[in-house]
Amino acid sequence: MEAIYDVYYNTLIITAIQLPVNLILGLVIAFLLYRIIKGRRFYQVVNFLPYITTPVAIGFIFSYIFGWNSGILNQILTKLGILSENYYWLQNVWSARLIVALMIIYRNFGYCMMIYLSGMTAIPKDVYEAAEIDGAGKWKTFRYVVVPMLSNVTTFLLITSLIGAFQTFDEPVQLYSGWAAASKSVGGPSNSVLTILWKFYDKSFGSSTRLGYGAAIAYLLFIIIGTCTLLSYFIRNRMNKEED
Amino acid sequence: MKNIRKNCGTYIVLSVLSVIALFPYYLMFVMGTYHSPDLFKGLPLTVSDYLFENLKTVLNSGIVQSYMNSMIVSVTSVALCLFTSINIGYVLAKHDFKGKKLITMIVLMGMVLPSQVSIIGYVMEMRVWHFTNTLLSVICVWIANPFSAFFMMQFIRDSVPTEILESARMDGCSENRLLYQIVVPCIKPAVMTVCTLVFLWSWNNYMLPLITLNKEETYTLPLLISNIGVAYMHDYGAQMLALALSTFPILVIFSFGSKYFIQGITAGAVKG
Repeated sequence: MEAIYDVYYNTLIITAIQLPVNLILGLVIAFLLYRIIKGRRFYQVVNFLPYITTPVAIGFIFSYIFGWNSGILNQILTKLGILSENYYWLQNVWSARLIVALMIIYRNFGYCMMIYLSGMTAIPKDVYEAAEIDGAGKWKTFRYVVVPMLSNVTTFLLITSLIGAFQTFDEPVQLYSGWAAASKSVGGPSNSVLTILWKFYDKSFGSSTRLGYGAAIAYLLFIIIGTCTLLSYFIRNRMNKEED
Repeated sequence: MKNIRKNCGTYIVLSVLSVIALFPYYLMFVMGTYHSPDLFKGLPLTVSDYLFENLKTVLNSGIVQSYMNSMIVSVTSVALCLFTSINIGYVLAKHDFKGKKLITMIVLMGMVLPSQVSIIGYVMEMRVWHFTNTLLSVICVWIANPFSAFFMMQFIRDSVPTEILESARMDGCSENRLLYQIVVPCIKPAVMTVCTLVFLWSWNNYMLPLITLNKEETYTLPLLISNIGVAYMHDYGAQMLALALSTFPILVIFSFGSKYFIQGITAGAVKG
């Protein structure tokens, strides 16, 4: 039987891969979007589509892309000659974690982008103009104006994404019960993508019905998420005060 | 034109990202048109001719029923959630009474509590009421949705002037009419926001239906999709088509109401 900190370790590892990429990519793309006028709405909507699609569907598609025998990635890589034989993407501990992180990035990056974009439009226009008059180029405006002025937004996104990351459930579950689901296994290769909530679900409603044990897991989760939420509440209050 | 040429690099980066974002959808729709054995013969990147046979298989698998279920769940959830949250929000924002602080605290606590924590208690409750295996078990969570109540409370407090309410009361307007003819028109943006968010959340909800719904007639779309692998084992073409059909409506709704969606999702995150 696996220990409870193992699931925390898995969740944190996946978060550590996914979170920085999400925030940085979101910020950079939001800045690119902010600078163009034509087609902004189009790119915004397209990059936001994964966020509103059922995670179940995304899991299904990803398990097809990374599948072993029929997976499209293996087919492409072997055709190009990069791989000599099919690789078990979903059966390796680290590639499994990486794929789950990738799914979360694919789904959530549009959300980060959207929040950053609305943060950028909230910065007064004269700040950008002043930077331009002082001769700041694209990169310098980004580095010395946008990033520091959006630090509050970043903190907010960091905490809310962290809360979301602790609740990772749909993605790993679907990855292992979608396309390649020969058997409905729990946890992926040697339990490497067994997240907190997956364990919670499995213990209380899945393979066993130990509701008490499940409730204990949930309480532990509540303490962590509660702390994060309170933190974000105070930060948001501070943000609002600064703006008034 | 000058603008576009100057930002050429930006457009290239954005287009590449958009292609990556759209590729899985494309794959889904294209693969839905294949006869399953053909899927393994090469890379399925162009449209094939097996669409109608797949469509027949999919329509026979109960997807229509699941569609209806999902629709019923989402629409009722939105309606109920709007009703309760507007009422709670209005009372907490514009009335004074004993115990108001306590109720506000309870609403706030509910927001801190992640929904998964209360799920065990909720499922027990549903069992006692014999609501398991009925759609009611997935709808009832939305009756008491702390986020919507809190959002409404804040919005009503900020955007409905107390003077209007007082002068209407002076003219003999009843509390019910006050709420539905004066307050609700003032908070239309908030109503749209809660509508879109609750619709999205209840449509995509996966964990709760997974626990409470075990009969095929009551499956919502996410459940049906995740069980599709079991339903027709090796008919991958049909699976993909079912997937495409079930994601399609939400994409259409989103493209039409993208303004409200974006407003709703960014609301509260950033002021202004």
